[in-house]
Amino acid sequence: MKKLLFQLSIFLTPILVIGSIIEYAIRKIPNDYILKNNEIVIQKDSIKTLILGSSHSLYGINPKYLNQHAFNAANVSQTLDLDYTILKETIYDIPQLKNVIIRVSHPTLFELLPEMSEEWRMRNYYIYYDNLDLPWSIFNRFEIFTTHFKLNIKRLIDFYIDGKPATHCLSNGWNTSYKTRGKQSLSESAKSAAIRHNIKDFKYHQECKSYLKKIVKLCKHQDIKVILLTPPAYYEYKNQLLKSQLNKTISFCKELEKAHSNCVHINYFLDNSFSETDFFDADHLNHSGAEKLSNDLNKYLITN
Amino acid sequence: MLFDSLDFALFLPIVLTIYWIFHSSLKAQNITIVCASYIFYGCWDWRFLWVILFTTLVDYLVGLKLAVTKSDVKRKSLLLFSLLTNVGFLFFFKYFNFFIDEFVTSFEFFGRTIEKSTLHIIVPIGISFYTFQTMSYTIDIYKKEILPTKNIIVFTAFVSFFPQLIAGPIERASNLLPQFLNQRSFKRENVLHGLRQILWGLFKKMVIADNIGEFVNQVLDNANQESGSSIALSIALYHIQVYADFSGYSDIAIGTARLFGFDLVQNFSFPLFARDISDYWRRWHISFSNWLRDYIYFPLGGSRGTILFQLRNLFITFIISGLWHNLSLNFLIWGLLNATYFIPVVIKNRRRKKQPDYSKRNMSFRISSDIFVTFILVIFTRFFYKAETFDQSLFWLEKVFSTSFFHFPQSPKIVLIIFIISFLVIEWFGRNQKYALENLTFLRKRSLRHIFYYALIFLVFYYSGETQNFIYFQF
Repeated sequence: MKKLLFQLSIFLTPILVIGSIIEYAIRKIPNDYILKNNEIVIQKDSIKTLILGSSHSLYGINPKYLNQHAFNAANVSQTLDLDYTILKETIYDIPQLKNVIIRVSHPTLFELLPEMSEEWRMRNYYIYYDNLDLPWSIFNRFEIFTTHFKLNIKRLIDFYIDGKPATHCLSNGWNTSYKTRGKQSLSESAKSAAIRHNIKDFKYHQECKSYLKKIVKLCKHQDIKVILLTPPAYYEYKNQLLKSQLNKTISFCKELEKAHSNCVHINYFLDNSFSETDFFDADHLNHSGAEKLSNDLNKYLITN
Repeated sequence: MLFDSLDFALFLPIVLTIYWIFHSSLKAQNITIVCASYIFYGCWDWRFLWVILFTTLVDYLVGLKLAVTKSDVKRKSLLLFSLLTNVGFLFFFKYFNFFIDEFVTSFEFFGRTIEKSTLHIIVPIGISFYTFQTMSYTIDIYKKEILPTKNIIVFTAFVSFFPQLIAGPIERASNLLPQFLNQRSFKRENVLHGLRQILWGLFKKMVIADNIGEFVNQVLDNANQESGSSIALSIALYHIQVYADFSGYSDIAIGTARLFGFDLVQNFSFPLFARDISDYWRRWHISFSNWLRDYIYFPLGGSRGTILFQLRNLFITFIISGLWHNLSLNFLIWGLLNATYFIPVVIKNRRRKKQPDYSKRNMSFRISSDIFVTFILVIFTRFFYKAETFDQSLFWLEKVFSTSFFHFPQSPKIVLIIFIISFLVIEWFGRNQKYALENLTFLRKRSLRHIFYYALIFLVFYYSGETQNFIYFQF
């Protein structure tokens, strides 16, 4: 048995070595999660507004247009559980924090990233954020176990050989990728986004509401204002959304606004000032739309 | 916990380590297997642990009682109780919603509507397989072919043995039970064969089956826009996908069992190279075919009597086989087609003095054409196997038998074509073995074999397609 185990170890050694090298090399590639984890520490003494949420915030709110120093800590598919975890970790280290802007879009109160098909993104929080309070996991701590091998090789080739940049965020956390318009037409993206965001099963609804309540209470305790932002969306997308789901979202935001003096809900679903040219796709703003929304938010922050 | 998942990759070495630490204690090893198997099954859905536990207890007690009961009437009653329990659970979980839906539909046909109180039954995974395994146990005791075991741990391990619990091979007590009763010793060749077979199974499933699956789904989901030739090619590739998927699963199951020192029955014997339909069914899902042969076909009378009588028995057996897969018109047709294919074979074989042995003949034009014809006949049945409804299968067939059959088909990526061809070549050269890599006769040097294994491992990691569920899990 010992001889066999020794021979198997010899056989497996090249695989383990190559795996380790790939893991190390991928971790060394700069990415937006590393950037945000580092920048929030660097800028912590001057941040007055913290932006949380998913891609709707990530692309839609540009801190450059907010007079008060702001940082965009949103990430693609970041759900409320992660918003809460990041806030809990950073709120006590940002002495000047006055406002937290958090998106509450159509799927926000019904999805949790660990339960979604994009669950693989959880590894970014395990590996690249310091000290986040996350559920115990073995595989999420490794790139090679959470990303397809082919994709990892592509990432290595793109960065180390082709020299393609791997970060798309500025130092203020805003993602610059959505410049004008995506490949799909607004009609096509409206249909596909509505299918993705109309949740058939509301089983995570209570848990999501609970996280949002915790965020509001945590901020209230620190005398921080919470702005629940329902971002603008293209009308064709809005028309295809499940009414029951949408009504639950809006009514819960209103409920929080009523119950907590530090909480306000700004609903851009009813706003028609965003035109076709402001959208990258049916539910994401492009640079022009982000500028418009950020300016609007800035006016609100100044007057309130 | 899928065989091709990271969870299983972590689970298996832990269980193996504990198992072989107890190498001197048979009882401890069996308990380890029971615990591991229940954890494995519980990971799928812990709510159904009671189903497998209940059927295990019923058949354990029935088996003991059958052995000591002399009265024929009482013995028949005991057997009937066991069969009804197993078939009852199977029927309830697999077919309950079907009957409720049909009942409601028939009311609606007469213009009345009734409240559909479907309980939304979830089928416990593996139930189609382990119930057949336990039924064969009680039937064999009834026929006095085996004696029951008094050891509840051994029997529980036999029923729930995790490598073969979810999708077979369906084991017979005469083969597997004695292995639980005897000490297993750690053998180098078991480990090497086991690992080799697991690797080959993973390659078949993750590289061949999953990649073909992506192409097949892409074509058939857009069948309206596709030509008859594309649909025909997709169905042909689907047949290879089902084979690679299911035999890949069986290879992983058998290889895993081998790591524990167990020898499971071979479940596939290179059916893609079958020379006629009866040869095909001696090579495809062997454990299930043998179960149907021994417990349905032979009790009905088998091949005794007239040709018509034999064909009657074949038709009944294949109808049951089709309905085991799914209670639908498509699978009924699938079963009937397979039975129909047997008509000329039965007539021809009656005139032969003995069964032809295809195992060792070299390739010739005659053999090639036999293999090709059998392949085409089986592909035709796949139209009904793959389609969700009868109308869909007819739609596909209409397209195939139209002029668009002569259009150039959409073809898979060149890499996939190379993989499929290489896979078929390796299978062909290994066709006289239990699995293709059992003896790598074309790679005599150890270093070359190791390079080949590294290449397979690389391909499994790099070219694994979008993960598709094991096809037979749906049954």
